[in-house]
Amino acid sequence: MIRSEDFLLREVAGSQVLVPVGAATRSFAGIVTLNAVGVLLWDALQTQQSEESLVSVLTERYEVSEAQAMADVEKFLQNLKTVGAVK
Amino acid sequence: MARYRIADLIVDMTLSGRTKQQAMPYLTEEAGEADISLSCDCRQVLSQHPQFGDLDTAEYMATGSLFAVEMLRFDGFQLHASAVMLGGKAYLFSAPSGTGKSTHTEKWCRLFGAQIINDDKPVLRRVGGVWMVYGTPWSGKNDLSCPVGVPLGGVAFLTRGEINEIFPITPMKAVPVILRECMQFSHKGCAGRQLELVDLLLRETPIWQLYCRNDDQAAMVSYEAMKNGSK
Repeated sequence: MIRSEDFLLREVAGSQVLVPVGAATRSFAGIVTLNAVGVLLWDALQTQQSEESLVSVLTERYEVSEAQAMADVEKFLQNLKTVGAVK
Repeated sequence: MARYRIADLIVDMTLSGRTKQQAMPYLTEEAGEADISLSCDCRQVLSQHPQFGDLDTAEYMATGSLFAVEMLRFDGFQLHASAVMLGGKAYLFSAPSGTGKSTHTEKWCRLFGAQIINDDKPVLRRVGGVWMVYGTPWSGKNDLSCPVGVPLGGVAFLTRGEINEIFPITPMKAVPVILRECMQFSHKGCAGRQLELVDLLLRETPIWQLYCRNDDQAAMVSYEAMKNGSK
């Protein structure tokens, strides 16, 4: 999986928001707010990643179990795939 | 090509129909170079966007859109809100369509003598560190707008509620709410620039969450809180 080039991550008033541009605006009219975990995963998805590699990204940074990290990764991917931000 | 003064900028535009009519209060005879120069091929716009229905609407939407893009160069963006002025300050009520923004500002006009600056998409522009609110010709189907620029006193996000109450919200909490009422730009540079302006606005302006019923007391509640708002 890799992130879409049609989404911008910007900080607005202390919040990290993902905003669609280009072709993505035709299918998604909203924004996504990312927490710290989301920002880390979004950053990693600049290059091709698998669910397992994303789990590693989390377990390397945080004191968290693989199971918890996997749950976080799955939730993140589900949300972002729905809006077309991750392919 | 006619010349207009909109949002304290000189704008040259060629218009016909309804947009020309709505732009009449903004005509100016000022000389010199235009800040913005707009034109659109309405027939082409209509053929590319048949959902606009007619040439008049195509021109209104296309010129409004072009103007919004140009405004970003001058530290301005449009917010989907009803804007009123009272006591030398502008107050904005923003919400999704049909929530009751215009109903609320109509009460401010009737009860307190406020005047509508723009009932659909006022321009918010940061001029010399001060946020100003302007009327524009793109003022919605009722064409409620006036060619003024007023310093911003506050922005309230409106939701229908069981009781009338208003409280300040943090800039961070306001982010998803305000972005829902901003234009969506396809161009990366434009989208990014608008986000920078929204960031500044939220940090520099009193922001409120207003829950209200459709009664006059709602306006009294919002007025009492917002008129004293300061940062």
